[in-house]
Amino acid sequence: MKITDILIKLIPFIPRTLLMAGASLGLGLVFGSLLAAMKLSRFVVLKKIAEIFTTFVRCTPTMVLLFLCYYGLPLLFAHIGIDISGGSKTGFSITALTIFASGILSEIIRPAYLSVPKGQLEAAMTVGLTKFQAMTHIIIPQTIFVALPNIGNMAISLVQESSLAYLIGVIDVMGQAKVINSISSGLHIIPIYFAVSIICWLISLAIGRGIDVWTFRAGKVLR
Amino acid sequence: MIQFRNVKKAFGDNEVLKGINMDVNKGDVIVILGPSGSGKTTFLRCLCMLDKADDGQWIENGKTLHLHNASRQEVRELRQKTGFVFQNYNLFANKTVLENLMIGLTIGHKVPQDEARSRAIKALAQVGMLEKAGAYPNSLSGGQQQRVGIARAVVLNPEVIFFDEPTSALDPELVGGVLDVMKDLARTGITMIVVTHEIAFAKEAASRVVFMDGGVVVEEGLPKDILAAPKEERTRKFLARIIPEMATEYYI
Amino acid sequence: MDLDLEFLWTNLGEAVRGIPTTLAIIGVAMAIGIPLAFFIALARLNHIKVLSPILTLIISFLRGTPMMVQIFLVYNGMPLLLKAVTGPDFDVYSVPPILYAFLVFALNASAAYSEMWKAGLSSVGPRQLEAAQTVGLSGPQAYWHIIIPQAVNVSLPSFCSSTLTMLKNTSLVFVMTVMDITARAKVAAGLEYKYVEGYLDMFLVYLVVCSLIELAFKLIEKKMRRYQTDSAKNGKAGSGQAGKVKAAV
Repeated sequence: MKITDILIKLIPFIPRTLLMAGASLGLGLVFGSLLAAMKLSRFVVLKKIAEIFTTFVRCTPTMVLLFLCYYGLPLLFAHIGIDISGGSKTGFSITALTIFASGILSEIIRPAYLSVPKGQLEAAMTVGLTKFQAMTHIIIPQTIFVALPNIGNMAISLVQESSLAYLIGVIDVMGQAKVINSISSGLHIIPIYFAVSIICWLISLAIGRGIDVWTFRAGKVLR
Repeated sequence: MIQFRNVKKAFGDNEVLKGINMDVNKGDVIVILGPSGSGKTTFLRCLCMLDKADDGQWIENGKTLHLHNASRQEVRELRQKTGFVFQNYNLFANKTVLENLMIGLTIGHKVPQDEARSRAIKALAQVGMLEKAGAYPNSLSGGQQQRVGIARAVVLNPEVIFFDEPTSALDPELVGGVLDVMKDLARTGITMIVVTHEIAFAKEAASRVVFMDGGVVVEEGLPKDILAAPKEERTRKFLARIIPEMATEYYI
Repeated sequence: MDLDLEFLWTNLGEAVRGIPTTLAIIGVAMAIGIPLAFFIALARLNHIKVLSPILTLIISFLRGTPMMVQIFLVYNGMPLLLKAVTGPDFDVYSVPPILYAFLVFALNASAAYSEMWKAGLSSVGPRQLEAAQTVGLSGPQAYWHIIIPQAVNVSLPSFCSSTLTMLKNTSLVFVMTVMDITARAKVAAGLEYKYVEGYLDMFLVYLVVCSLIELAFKLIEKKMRRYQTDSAKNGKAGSGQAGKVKAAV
């Protein structure tokens, strides 16, 4: 089997890989920002909870998170009477990846937010903006700009970590590769995984390039 | 007329403001002088609610605003009638020059877009920065940024504009341009309270000079009086350090 | 929670028995990776012809492909390579799989650490090198005594997180039948279908090992703070405006 044949067979499954990476990036940004806000808040309780959560997540292999979600969450929910054991495997994988992403993103967003000069907020207040307006129009855009390269790295990481989803049976690029491998009785295992690596590599390069372009364009404004 | 009464502020054990009183009439240009640590900047920031004063009143039109426990609504009203020019300009890095001026009007003061734009253009012309309206702050020199900062405060049509050492962060050759803008502004009759070390500006444009030291007002009066013949020893010492000629004018 | 707490406890011991293997993989990866990464970073910073672009390409590949895929490629590909190199008499099955693990992780470590060295070395700046040379130090001596300590100081935090990431990635070597923390906990749990307990055990062990490594790095960071220069104190550029702000009164 030539590599091009394999690639053609795998391409239809790229959307699922991208779905997992994209959804967990989006949700991870939401929860990561929440965690960052908790760490910056005045309430020590919130701070501690966020810090402990982050430590737990940063010290856990993604695979362990994945399996804990897949086997553990149904158990947890069963206790309060909800049956999620029939839930979509992709959904479990996105849950695990989101937990993974929010831990790391909170430590990206927090220093990025702190690096925006305090004077920006003060100036915004003196021209009559409320704190909310100041955050939305001035502070958060600048935070995103500073965090962008690391968020890009996170996106690339998520694409790669999502390849572990095959372990719970998700048929994305990696999952399909396993299927093809077992169909061909393991004879073409090297070209198969080579094809997977090419696909992932190209996706990573594309994301990296996209972030570079975005940073460059925004950089003309902000730095 | 605005009266500031008994403004106090301590940072931990350090009592920076020990009870400042000041009267401000419409059109006044008050220059506050003093050594580092005298509390000048803190005074300004407390009046603008950028720092929370421990005590103090802002009395105007018979109404008293207590600086140490102002309600959110009172703070908003205060912000509506004041403008602030920062030592390090603090222009919004992610907005163009024009947007910097308009954003306070359109979002903060709920002014319609067209009116905001025309006011912004007028203010930019006033400070001589109109051709840079579409530029971003990071392409401007310090002096240019500060002029935009001044325009940003002016465009709000405030009752009083506070200037916190507006030229201290500038390269020497850019200071003059900003001071000229400020002098023009003073001539238009805007009420200005300026903390600065630029004695020439005080001489030319101030209607009153206030000397602060150690958290209190030591002396105040007309520029020609204070700068030429200060009554207090502390004032004399301070001025002698920054005006060489003062040192020889002891016994006139 | 209907967890078998007793099993959780006993399986923990099983999982802990995998720690030496895990640490061995990381140890070898770091021992090979750190020096190798240093030279890779030098080559790339100095834009050495031919070598630099090739290295950049390899690093891009190693960082842009999933670890799992790399593991599969090495696990399945290396035996074929070995066979081709050594001839038909060599028994590829006698090669302990942990060696493959060493290979994959050493390669990955070199790629990850080279980025780190690049950032650290470029932050120290050529002036330090010039100064060292003017007082009579040779190139290698200058690097060893002056440049590298400063570069290490700057890049310690990202060094720590790269190492932790690598530690977490070692959990994947179970597919090569290497008996690390994950493999041991999984096997034992799988025998009795107590999956959740097994994964909780893994979670606990990795948590402890990671925290200890993080602690070790914090201690090293503290010790190295004595050598901090201005460039290290300011860190990367990030705060915006006028650098000439005097202290406001």
